[in-house]
Amino acid sequence: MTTKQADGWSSKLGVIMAVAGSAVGLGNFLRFPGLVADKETGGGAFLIAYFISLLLVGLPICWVEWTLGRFGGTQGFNSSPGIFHAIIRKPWGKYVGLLGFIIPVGVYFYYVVIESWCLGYAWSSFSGGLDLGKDPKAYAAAFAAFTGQDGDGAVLGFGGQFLFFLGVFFLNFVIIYRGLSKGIEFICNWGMPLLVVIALALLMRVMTLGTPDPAKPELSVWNGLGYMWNSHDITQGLSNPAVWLKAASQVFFTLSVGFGVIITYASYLKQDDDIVLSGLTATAANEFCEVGLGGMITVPAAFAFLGASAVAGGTFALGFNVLPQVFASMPFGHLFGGLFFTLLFIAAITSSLSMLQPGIAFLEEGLGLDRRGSVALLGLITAVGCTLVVWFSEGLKALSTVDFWIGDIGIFLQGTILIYVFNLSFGTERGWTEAHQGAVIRIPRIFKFILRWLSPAYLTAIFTMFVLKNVAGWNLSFGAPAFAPTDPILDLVGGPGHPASGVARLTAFFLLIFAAFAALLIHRAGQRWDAR
Amino acid sequence: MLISVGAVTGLFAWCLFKVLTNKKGPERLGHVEPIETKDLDRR
Repeated sequence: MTTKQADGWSSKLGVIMAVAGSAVGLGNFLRFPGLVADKETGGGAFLIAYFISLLLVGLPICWVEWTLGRFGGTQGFNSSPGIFHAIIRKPWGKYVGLLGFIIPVGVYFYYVVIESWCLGYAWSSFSGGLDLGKDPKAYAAAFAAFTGQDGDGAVLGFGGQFLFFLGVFFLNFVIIYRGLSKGIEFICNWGMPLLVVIALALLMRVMTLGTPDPAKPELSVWNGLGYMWNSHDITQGLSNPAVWLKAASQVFFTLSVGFGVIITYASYLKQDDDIVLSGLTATAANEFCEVGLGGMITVPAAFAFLGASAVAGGTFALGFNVLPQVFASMPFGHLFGGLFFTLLFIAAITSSLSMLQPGIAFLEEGLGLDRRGSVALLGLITAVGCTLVVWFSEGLKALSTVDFWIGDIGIFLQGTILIYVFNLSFGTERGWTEAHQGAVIRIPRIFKFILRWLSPAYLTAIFTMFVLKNVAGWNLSFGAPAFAPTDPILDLVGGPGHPASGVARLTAFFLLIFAAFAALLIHRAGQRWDAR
Repeated sequence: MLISVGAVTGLFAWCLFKVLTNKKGPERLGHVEPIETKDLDRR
């Protein structure tokens, strides 16, 4: 008689490394620094709002997700639909976990593409191919060409980015096939320390840059740090809703809460395995990488070589346009650039792996597939989604559409669901007791009040503001509010001067089909769970 | 800057210290490797 034994983590440090690996990503090194450096909403006010949000939303919901996940695991479930099925104990309960399947798989559709950019840029940098001179337009053009932004279907073909994408896509599945301890845990146990070592080496390099151009003494690393971390007007900043929105959003996204990942990872723990210290350690690891490392490397380096104007622009612009130019300007820049993009690649792959495990867990326990079957089916699903993103690369429209509806709206929604399920379905007192089963340290009692009242209120307020601003186009003014359709909406419905995008519509339609398919699978899984 | 960076670094260091020095319970969790069916019943 054959018996399938349960998968699981082999050490406490391993699960912490895995969760930290899931959380630490490109946002730690590219998005966070840009937010702090923003002249209107950055600086000291942003950091105060950031740390308050960490205490009111980030850390509490992190503990909630660990708690609900471990509880679900003790009930025999490792996927979000299964865990919510066990918690809510109503016929519709399992559908509450729908987002916990859609979000990680949906984000994987485009995240693995970005991951392949990092590997491709690392390769180019090490081989000297990223030194394109002093003209910023050359770097922007190279990035656009490499990522196929000039036209749909531009990256297909056996050359350049597409080969990197194929390699990275298959690498993820080779690793995930090996299971938790031999796959994800092994990669994170090596990858996360290596990431920190590389980051420290880059930090040392940046901190010793001094004033790269003696003819421009104002452009120095020290001034770059000042540009980024200066207090600005704290009172004015804290009274600006945009500051709170950006800070709370960044905390939420950076910790990977509401992603469907932590709840699955924690489900492989036993009831007397600590989750309080583990959750705090994973959060602390992420914040160290974000504030302690990311906040000290990219923007100061960019400022020292190129000035304040180089710092403006989004995550991709900073990472793939500005920084290659920075590295091209420094001695041994191809080496440091290669290390930087290798760091981004490690951060990305430890995150992308985490996005696959919830899907694997659901397909195995919901449909009764073995590892080979679940990997094959998830591979097929993600191949279709990734093809959409890779093919429709003009202006990165497919990527940005999935990112907005799944990676932004979806995650906020799932996080909100989590905190309300914890308090209303599971019960705050019960959850508090459950969290402390096997705990090495105790959560300060103030957090019980925060979990029960402040976190739900704060998260609901932030989510509402996020939707009003990014969907309804609210100008964040309470005195003179104004609304205007935003790009994600205009892409779907069109408007004066902004025709609807066929790619955005197709992508949105595909996401709806994907969600319907996932719901059907959950229905099938429910029948199986009820029968056993 | 120093307060922010110092706080997160200190917190991370403290957490790692607690994790690595915790003597409560076995370090290895109750994990069992999946059994491949093709390896069973070899006589």
